[in-house]
Amino acid sequence: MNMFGFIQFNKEVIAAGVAEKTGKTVKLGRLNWQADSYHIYGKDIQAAKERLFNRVADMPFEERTMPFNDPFIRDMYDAAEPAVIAKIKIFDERH
Amino acid sequence: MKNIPVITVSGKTLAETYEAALINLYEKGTRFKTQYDKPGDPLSIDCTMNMTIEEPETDPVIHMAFPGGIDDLKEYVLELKGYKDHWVKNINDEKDTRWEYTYHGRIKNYGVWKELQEGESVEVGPFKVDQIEGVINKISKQPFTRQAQMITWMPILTSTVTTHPVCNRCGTAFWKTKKGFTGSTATSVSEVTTPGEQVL
Repeated sequence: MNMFGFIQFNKEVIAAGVAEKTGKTVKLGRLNWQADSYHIYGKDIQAAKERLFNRVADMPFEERTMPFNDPFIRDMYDAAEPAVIAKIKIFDERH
Repeated sequence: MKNIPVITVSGKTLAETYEAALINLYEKGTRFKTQYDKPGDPLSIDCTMNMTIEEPETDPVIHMAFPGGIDDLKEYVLELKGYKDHWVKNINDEKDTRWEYTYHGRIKNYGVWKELQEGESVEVGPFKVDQIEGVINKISKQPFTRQAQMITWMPILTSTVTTHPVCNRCGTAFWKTKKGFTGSTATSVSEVTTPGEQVL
Protein backbone atom coordinates (compact mmCIF):
# COMPACT_ATOMS: atom_id res chain seq x y z
CA MET A 1 0.00 0.00 0.00
CA ASN A 2 2.78 2.45 0.92
CA MET A 3 4.77 1.71 -2.23
CA PHE A 4 1.71 2.01 -4.46
CA GLY A 5 0.77 5.27 -2.77
CA PHE A 6 4.19 6.87 -3.02
CA ILE A 7 4.53 5.85 -6.68
CA GLN A 8 1.26 7.62 -7.44
CA PHE A 9 2.30 10.58 -5.29
CA ASN A 10 5.61 10.82 -7.16
CA LYS A 11 3.75 10.69 -10.46
CA GLU A 12 0.77 12.93 -9.72
CA VAL A 13 2.43 15.51 -7.49
CA ILE A 14 6.21 15.60 -7.97
CA ALA A 15 6.59 14.54 -11.62
CA ALA A 16 3.49 16.48 -12.63
CA GLY A 17 4.82 19.53 -10.79
CA VAL A 18 8.17 19.34 -12.56
CA ALA A 19 6.44 18.80 -15.90
CA GLU A 20 4.27 21.85 -15.36
CA LYS A 21 7.22 24.00 -14.34
CA THR A 22 9.60 22.89 -17.10
CA GLY A 23 7.27 22.04 -19.95
CA LYS A 24 8.90 18.62 -20.26
CA THR A 25 7.32 15.18 -20.24
CA VAL A 26 8.32 13.48 -17.00
CA LYS A 27 8.12 9.72 -16.44
CA LEU A 28 8.95 7.74 -13.35
CA GLY A 29 12.23 5.84 -13.23
CA ARG A 30 13.27 3.17 -10.79
CA LEU A 31 12.12 3.32 -7.22
CA ASN A 32 14.37 2.06 -4.46
CA TRP A 33 12.64 1.30 -1.17
CA GLN A 34 14.57 0.61 2.02
CA ALA A 35 12.74 -0.78 5.05
CA ASP A 36 14.93 -1.12 8.13
CA SER A 37 12.36 -3.44 9.67
CA TYR A 38 10.20 -5.24 7.10
CA HIS A 39 7.92 -7.46 9.10
CA ILE A 40 4.83 -9.58 9.48
CA TYR A 41 3.47 -9.82 13.02
CA GLY A 42 2.89 -13.32 14.34
CA LYS A 43 -0.87 -12.80 14.54
CA ASP A 44 -0.97 -12.02 10.81
CA ILE A 45 1.08 -14.96 9.51
CA GLN A 46 -1.86 -17.32 8.96
CA ALA A 47 -3.69 -14.66 6.93
CA ALA A 48 -0.49 -14.04 4.95
CA LYS A 49 -0.31 -17.73 4.11
CA GLU A 50 -3.91 -17.69 2.91
CA ARG A 51 -3.49 -14.52 0.87
CA LEU A 52 -0.13 -15.28 -0.71
CA PHE A 53 2.32 -17.91 0.49
CA ASN A 54 -0.01 -20.91 0.06
CA ARG A 55 -1.17 -19.67 -3.35
CA VAL A 56 2.13 -19.16 -5.11
CA ALA A 57 2.59 -22.79 -6.15
CA ASP A 58 -0.89 -23.29 -7.59
CA MET A 59 -2.09 -19.90 -8.82
CA PRO A 60 -0.57 -18.29 -11.95
CA PHE A 61 1.18 -14.94 -11.41
CA GLU A 62 -1.40 -13.24 -13.66
CA GLU A 63 -4.14 -14.26 -11.25
CA ARG A 64 -2.22 -13.01 -8.22
CA THR A 65 -1.86 -9.56 -9.75
CA MET A 66 -3.95 -6.87 -11.44
CA PRO A 67 -3.12 -4.45 -14.30
CA PHE A 68 -3.57 -0.91 -12.96
CA ASN A 69 -3.41 0.52 -16.49
CA ASP A 70 -6.33 -1.60 -17.65
CA PRO A 71 -9.18 0.81 -18.51
CA PHE A 72 -11.71 -1.16 -16.47
CA ILE A 73 -9.49 -1.18 -13.37
CA ARG A 74 -8.61 2.49 -13.85
CA ASP A 75 -12.32 3.36 -14.14
CA MET A 76 -12.97 1.55 -10.84
CA TYR A 77 -10.07 3.43 -9.25
CA ASP A 78 -11.23 6.83 -10.48
CA ALA A 79 -14.87 6.12 -9.66
CA ALA A 80 -13.90 5.49 -6.03
CA GLU A 81 -13.00 9.15 -5.44
CA PRO A 82 -16.53 10.51 -4.69
CA ALA A 83 -17.12 7.71 -2.17
CA VAL A 84 -13.79 8.45 -0.47
CA ILE A 85 -14.60 12.15 -0.26
CA ALA A 86 -18.01 11.30 1.22
CA LYS A 87 -16.30 9.04 3.76
CA ILE A 88 -13.98 11.87 4.75
CA LYS A 89 -16.98 14.17 5.26
CA ILE A 90 -18.62 11.61 7.54
CA PHE A 91 -15.43 11.47 9.62
CA ASP A 92 -15.41 15.28 9.72
CA GLU A 93 -18.95 15.38 11.06
CA ARG A 94 -18.14 12.92 13.82
CA HIS A 95 -14.91 14.55 15.01
CA MET B 1 25.06 -13.44 17.74
CA LYS B 2 22.12 -13.73 15.35
CA ASN B 3 21.57 -10.65 13.26
CA ILE B 4 18.41 -9.59 11.45
CA PRO B 5 19.06 -10.52 7.78
CA VAL B 6 19.44 -7.87 5.10
CA ILE B 7 17.57 -8.95 1.97
CA THR B 8 17.73 -7.34 -1.45
CA VAL B 9 15.16 -7.88 -4.20
CA SER B 10 14.50 -6.19 -7.51
CA GLY B 11 11.96 -6.58 -10.27
CA LYS B 12 10.51 -4.86 -13.28
CA THR B 13 7.11 -4.12 -11.77
CA LEU B 14 5.67 -3.25 -8.37
CA ALA B 15 3.60 -6.44 -8.09
CA GLU B 16 6.55 -8.65 -9.01
CA THR B 17 8.90 -6.92 -6.57
CA TYR B 18 6.36 -6.80 -3.75
CA GLU B 19 5.73 -10.53 -4.05
CA ALA B 20 9.44 -11.36 -4.20
CA ALA B 21 10.02 -9.27 -1.08
CA LEU B 22 7.29 -11.06 0.87
CA ILE B 23 8.42 -14.53 -0.18
CA ASN B 24 12.02 -13.70 0.73
CA LEU B 25 10.88 -12.32 4.07
CA TYR B 26 8.88 -15.49 4.77
CA GLU B 27 11.69 -17.83 3.73
CA LYS B 28 14.73 -15.97 5.09
CA GLY B 29 13.43 -13.59 7.74
CA THR B 30 14.28 -14.02 11.40
CA ARG B 31 11.61 -15.20 13.82
CA PHE B 32 11.24 -13.51 17.19
CA LYS B 33 8.76 -12.14 19.68
CA THR B 34 8.20 -8.41 19.31
CA GLN B 35 6.90 -5.91 21.85
CA TYR B 36 3.55 -5.94 20.00
CA ASP B 37 2.94 -9.71 20.05
CA LYS B 38 0.42 -11.02 22.55
CA PRO B 39 0.94 -14.20 24.63
CA GLY B 40 0.25 -17.21 22.43
CA ASP B 41 0.85 -15.40 19.16
CA PRO B 42 3.22 -17.09 16.68
CA LEU B 43 6.65 -15.48 16.43
CA SER B 44 6.82 -12.45 14.14
CA ILE B 45 8.99 -12.43 11.00
CA ASP B 46 11.41 -9.58 10.35
CA CYS B 47 14.25 -8.51 8.08
CA THR B 48 15.83 -5.40 6.63
CA MET B 49 14.55 -5.16 3.06
CA ASN B 50 15.90 -3.24 0.08
CA MET B 51 13.58 -3.31 -2.94
CA THR B 52 14.07 -1.84 -6.39
CA ILE B 53 11.20 -1.48 -8.82
CA GLU B 54 12.67 -0.81 -12.25
CA GLU B 55 9.46 0.38 -13.93
CA PRO B 56 6.97 1.54 -11.29
CA GLU B 57 4.31 2.49 -13.85
CA THR B 58 4.43 -0.80 -15.79
CA ASP B 59 1.82 -3.49 -15.16
CA PRO B 60 1.14 -5.51 -13.21
CA VAL B 61 1.19 -2.76 -10.61
CA ILE B 62 -1.39 -4.17 -8.19
CA HIS B 63 -0.89 -7.39 -6.23
CA MET B 64 -3.93 -9.20 -4.87
CA ALA B 65 -2.16 -9.49 -1.51
CA PHE B 66 -2.20 -5.69 -1.09
CA PRO B 67 -4.28 -4.82 1.97
CA GLY B 68 -7.75 -3.57 0.95
CA GLY B 69 -9.32 -3.11 -2.45
CA ILE B 70 -9.15 -0.63 -5.34
CA ASP B 71 -11.14 1.95 -3.38
CA ASP B 72 -8.63 1.71 -0.51
CA LEU B 73 -5.77 2.41 -2.91
CA LYS B 74 -7.61 5.48 -4.15
CA GLU B 75 -8.29 6.62 -0.60
CA TYR B 76 -4.62 6.24 0.33
CA VAL B 77 -3.43 8.23 -2.68
CA LEU B 78 -5.90 11.02 -1.86
CA GLU B 79 -4.60 10.94 1.72
CA LEU B 80 -1.04 11.35 0.41
CA LYS B 81 -2.26 14.32 -1.63
CA GLY B 82 -3.58 16.06 1.48
CA TYR B 83 -7.26 15.15 1.61
CA LYS B 84 -7.00 14.18 5.30
CA ASP B 85 -4.59 16.80 6.56
CA HIS B 86 -7.39 18.39 8.60
CA TRP B 87 -7.76 15.10 10.51
CA VAL B 88 -4.64 15.89 12.51
CA LYS B 89 -5.36 16.61 16.16
CA ASN B 90 -4.39 19.41 18.44
CA ILE B 91 -1.31 17.75 19.84
CA ASN B 92 -1.78 19.03 23.41
CA ASP B 93 -5.44 17.99 23.67
CA GLU B 94 -5.77 14.54 25.27
CA LYS B 95 -9.48 14.42 24.39
CA ASP B 96 -8.79 14.93 20.70
CA THR B 97 -9.01 11.46 19.10
CA ARG B 98 -7.97 12.49 15.61
CA TRP B 99 -4.69 11.49 13.93
CA GLU B 100 -1.27 12.62 15.12
CA TYR B 101 0.09 13.31 11.64
CA THR B 102 -0.39 12.73 7.93
CA TYR B 103 2.46 12.21 5.49
CA HIS B 104 1.23 15.07 3.33
CA GLY B 105 0.94 17.39 6.30
CA ARG B 106 4.50 16.61 7.36
CA ILE B 107 6.00 17.16 3.91
CA LYS B 108 3.82 20.11 2.87
CA ASN B 109 4.03 21.96 6.19
CA TYR B 110 7.15 20.54 7.84
CA GLY B 111 7.98 22.08 11.20
CA VAL B 112 4.51 22.99 12.45
CA TRP B 113 1.72 21.31 14.37
CA LYS B 114 -1.58 22.30 15.95
CA GLU B 115 -2.21 23.09 19.60
CA LEU B 116 -5.32 24.04 21.50
CA GLN B 117 -4.79 27.48 23.05
CA GLU B 118 -7.64 29.20 24.92
CA GLY B 119 -10.18 27.05 23.12
CA GLU B 120 -8.81 27.75 19.65
CA SER B 121 -6.79 25.49 17.38
CA VAL B 122 -3.54 27.32 16.65
CA GLU B 123 -0.69 26.40 14.30
CA VAL B 124 2.63 26.48 16.16
CA GLY B 125 6.21 25.47 15.44
CA PRO B 126 9.68 26.89 14.90
CA PHE B 127 9.38 27.16 11.11
CA LYS B 128 7.25 25.95 8.19
CA VAL B 129 8.74 24.39 5.08
CA ASP B 130 6.84 23.33 1.95
CA GLN B 131 9.07 20.41 0.95
CA ILE B 132 6.95 19.56 -2.11
CA GLU B 133 7.46 22.98 -3.61
CA GLY B 134 11.13 22.81 -2.66
CA VAL B 135 11.70 19.47 -4.39
CA ILE B 136 9.86 20.52 -7.54
CA ASN B 137 11.88 23.74 -7.69
CA LYS B 138 15.18 21.91 -7.07
CA ILE B 139 14.58 19.31 -9.76
CA SER B 140 13.24 21.80 -12.27
CA LYS B 141 16.33 23.96 -11.84
CA GLN B 142 18.91 21.16 -11.54
CA PRO B 143 17.58 17.80 -12.80
CA PHE B 144 20.42 15.72 -11.34
CA THR B 145 20.50 17.34 -7.93
CA ARG B 146 21.03 15.12 -4.89
CA GLN B 147 19.30 17.64 -2.69
CA ALA B 148 15.69 16.89 -3.63
CA GLN B 149 14.77 15.25 -0.33
CA MET B 150 11.64 15.26 1.78
CA ILE B 151 11.46 14.04 5.38
CA THR B 152 8.55 13.36 7.71
CA TRP B 153 10.25 12.66 11.03
CA MET B 154 9.96 15.55 13.49
CA PRO B 155 12.28 14.92 16.45
CA ILE B 156 10.73 17.79 18.37
CA LEU B 157 7.50 15.75 18.64
CA THR B 158 9.09 12.40 19.51
CA SER B 159 8.13 12.56 23.17
CA THR B 160 4.73 14.13 22.50
CA VAL B 161 3.09 11.73 20.05
CA THR B 162 2.64 7.96 20.22
CA THR B 163 2.72 7.17 16.50
CA HIS B 164 5.47 8.10 14.09
CA PRO B 165 5.70 8.12 10.30
CA VAL B 166 6.71 4.79 8.79
CA CYS B 167 8.05 6.44 5.64
CA ASN B 168 10.51 9.04 6.85
CA ARG B 169 12.46 10.08 3.78
CA CYS B 170 11.54 10.38 0.13
CA GLY B 171 14.36 11.41 -2.13
CA THR B 172 14.31 12.10 -5.83
CA ALA B 173 18.03 11.83 -6.26
CA PHE B 174 18.45 12.80 -9.89
CA TRP B 175 16.58 12.89 -13.11
CA LYS B 176 18.04 11.84 -16.42
CA THR B 177 16.74 12.26 -19.92
CA LYS B 178 17.05 10.53 -23.24
CA LYS B 179 19.23 13.38 -24.47
CA GLY B 180 21.54 13.91 -21.54
CA PHE B 181 19.84 16.25 -19.16
CA THR B 182 18.34 18.53 -21.74
CA GLY B 183 15.97 16.29 -23.65
CA SER B 184 12.22 16.35 -23.59
CA THR B 185 11.69 13.20 -21.56
CA ALA B 186 12.88 13.10 -17.98
CA THR B 187 12.93 10.07 -15.69
CA SER B 188 12.81 10.31 -11.92
CA VAL B 189 14.96 8.08 -9.76
CA SER B 190 13.60 8.01 -6.27
CA GLU B 191 14.16 6.42 -2.89
CA VAL B 192 11.99 5.95 0.16
CA THR B 193 13.32 4.82 3.53
CA THR B 194 11.29 3.46 6.40
CA PRO B 195 12.39 2.55 9.92
CA GLY B 196 9.68 -0.08 10.29
CA GLU B 197 7.01 -1.35 7.96
CA GLN B 198 4.23 -3.86 8.60
CA VAL B 199 3.75 -5.41 5.17
CA LEU B 200 0.66 -7.61 5.39
